[in-house]
Amino acid sequence: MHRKIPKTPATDVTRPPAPDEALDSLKRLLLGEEQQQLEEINERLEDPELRSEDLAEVLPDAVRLSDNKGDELTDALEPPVTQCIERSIQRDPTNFANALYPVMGPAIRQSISNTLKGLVDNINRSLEQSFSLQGLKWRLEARRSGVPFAEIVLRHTLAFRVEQVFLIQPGSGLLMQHVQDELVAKADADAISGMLTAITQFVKDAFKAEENEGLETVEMGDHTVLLVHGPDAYLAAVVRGVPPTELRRDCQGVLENLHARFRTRLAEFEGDPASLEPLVPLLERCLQSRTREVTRHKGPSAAFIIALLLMLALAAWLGFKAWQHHKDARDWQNRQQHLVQLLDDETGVTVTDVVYGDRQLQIRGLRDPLARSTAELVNEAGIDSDQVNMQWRTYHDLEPRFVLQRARQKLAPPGSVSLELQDGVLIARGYADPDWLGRARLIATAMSGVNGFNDEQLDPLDTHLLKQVNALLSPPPGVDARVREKVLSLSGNAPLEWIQNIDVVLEPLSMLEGIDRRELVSEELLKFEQLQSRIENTFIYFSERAELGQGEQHKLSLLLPDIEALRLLGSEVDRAFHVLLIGSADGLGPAEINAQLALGRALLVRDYLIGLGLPGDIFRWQTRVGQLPVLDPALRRTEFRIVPQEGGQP
Amino acid sequence: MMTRKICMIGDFAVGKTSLVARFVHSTFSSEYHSTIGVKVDSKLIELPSGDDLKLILWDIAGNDALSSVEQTYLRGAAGFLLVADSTRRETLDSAIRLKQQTDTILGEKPFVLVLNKIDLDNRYELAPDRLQQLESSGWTQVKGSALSGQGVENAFQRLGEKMAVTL
Repeated sequence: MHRKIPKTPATDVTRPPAPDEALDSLKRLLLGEEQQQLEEINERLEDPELRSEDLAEVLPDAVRLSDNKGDELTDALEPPVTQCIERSIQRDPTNFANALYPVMGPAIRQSISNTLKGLVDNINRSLEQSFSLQGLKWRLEARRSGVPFAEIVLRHTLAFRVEQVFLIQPGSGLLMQHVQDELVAKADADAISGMLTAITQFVKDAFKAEENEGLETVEMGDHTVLLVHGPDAYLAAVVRGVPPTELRRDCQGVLENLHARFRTRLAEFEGDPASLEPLVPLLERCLQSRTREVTRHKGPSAAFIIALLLMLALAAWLGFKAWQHHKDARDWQNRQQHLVQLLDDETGVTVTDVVYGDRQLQIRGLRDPLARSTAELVNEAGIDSDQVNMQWRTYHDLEPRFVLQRARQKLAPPGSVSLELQDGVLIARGYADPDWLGRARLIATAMSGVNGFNDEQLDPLDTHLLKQVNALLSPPPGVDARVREKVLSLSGNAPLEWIQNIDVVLEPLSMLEGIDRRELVSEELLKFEQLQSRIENTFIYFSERAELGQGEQHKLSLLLPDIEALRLLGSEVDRAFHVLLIGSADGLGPAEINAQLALGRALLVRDYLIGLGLPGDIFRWQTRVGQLPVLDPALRRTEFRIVPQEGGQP
Repeated sequence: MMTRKICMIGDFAVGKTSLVARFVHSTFSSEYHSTIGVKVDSKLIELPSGDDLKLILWDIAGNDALSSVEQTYLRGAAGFLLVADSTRRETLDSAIRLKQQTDTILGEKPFVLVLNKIDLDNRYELAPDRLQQLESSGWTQVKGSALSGQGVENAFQRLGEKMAVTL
């Protein structure tokens, strides 16, 4: 090591020494060596370089020694070292990253390993406690109290836990700092520290305590508040469980440490907790906890519980199956009885024999083919078709609706016939072909369940048709109508117009196969023939000459209206005609003259009638002369014939 | 955020606890008054500067003079609300006496005089000249009613602001 050796000042012998110098000389003489050492020490103290060299020499030993004494050096170095690291990282993070690189990998691996181990432990513990009786008890407690299960497990497995730590200003009770376990619900820490202080002050006042005395412990249920007092702050640790004696000592150590390092800040606290933030890491040292071993073999093991639960589950399952089997059997029995009841109640079905079985029901009996399908009844009873074996023999049930249904099947009545059964008598209504009716009478009375056949209200078809004809035509009194084998025969006299309308009126009666009207004469035609007959029986007589006899003109004038009426009727009945005038003469005398006389007599009548107003073209004429040469006045005449025009009616 | 301890001081039944109840949602039961003579609550207010100030309210059980334990409750208080009942003249006298007693313990601290029960104006008993006299000697006064809530926030806010000056 380089050391400066102080120079000794040179002595001036040319002049007498001053008093100070004399003293110094004396000192040098007497204390020469010590003086020199003192000066050397002084020089070393004043020279920073030398002092640093000295400090560097002892520093490693000093650090080692200090470390043996406890945490003071670490606590003292922590802020500046932290600051240095922070500044270094801010300036250039690369250096730090490079330096940490070799340790980062293993550190991370170890951290993950520890975390996983902790997780596995937690899972093991949770599983163990979940399946133990105690675990179930705790679950019930969690449910009852509304506290999470994990918290309940912690409460019971922790020997103690410091939940909160308050650092409080003694006089004012103001909260200086506060740390708490994450699991603890947040409360108004300011108010709590105030009240705690008030209680402390109250107790001190009430028991006239000395200034340095104070409340040290507050116990309540499973909570204990440890109070540790210091001059500028006091510490209150809220502990759940039974705190060990060393906890108070630890808290005391933390409070002393706080006073040692932050005395000024504590003393000058004026209500700003932020100024005491640096105290938090130290305070957190008080948040200690310790678990206790849960007595494992006190209750039944998890395996036992699981086995028990499995057995209970098996028993429950077997019980359920037995109950279900019993229920199914009872249900099957009920369904069988229900089906038999349904069959018994069904018309047309008679059960004669039933065999109930565990799996199949056997039924024998009688069944009318017209009865409801037994498969439907089986289905209605909730039974599968393969669960029932049914054998039915056919019979005829005399139930009226079956009798009637059978009658309908056998008689096959046409749509115009309705059948009804009243007191065993089959009643037919409507109209029908006589053939069907004859057959029906035979069959009906032979059917079982039918005691008689009543067809009073059933018309034969012809009768029905005649009724229809009469209703439609309303024949006049002179007409007689009959229907036979669907053919209508009309006879008698009737107005021409009525006759002409017959076809139109009867058109809807499609069952009518023909209309015979040969015997039906129109009243107009009858009148025509009467008039014709009267005209043809009229004779106009003449004298020997071709002159009208006396009164014959009157006869001709009477004939005029008949001819006119005949013309009118002829056009109505479609009979166009001519009036043939036959002039006659007897055979006496010359034939030529007689022929002229006969012609003259015919023409005279014609002319006379034309003179009365009749048209000339309706007349034709011819002559007839007697063959015998005898006088016969009766032959001196003109007679009339009504003859049809060519192409017209005769 | 700063915290300040303030005390509620006033004669019996002037309405201190009702004023606090109006101002905060209490953590503790008021039974503490009859047991240890004080109940502590906290309440956050906002100062005109925009800063928050947390008031730690020590509601001290009322009487016309402070007992020895009650005096210890005053320790560290940064201010106080002096409460008088406007329908009982004698409570103002008590308030003046309590103020003197407080001053000897705490020294001069910011305070606000609350004239409570102002809703019962037909029973108002305080002499105006007396109040005028107090005001001229620097007593900040707030008329209030714990029943209607009138003036309650204002009283705490005024006290907060007065203390903020000394922050």
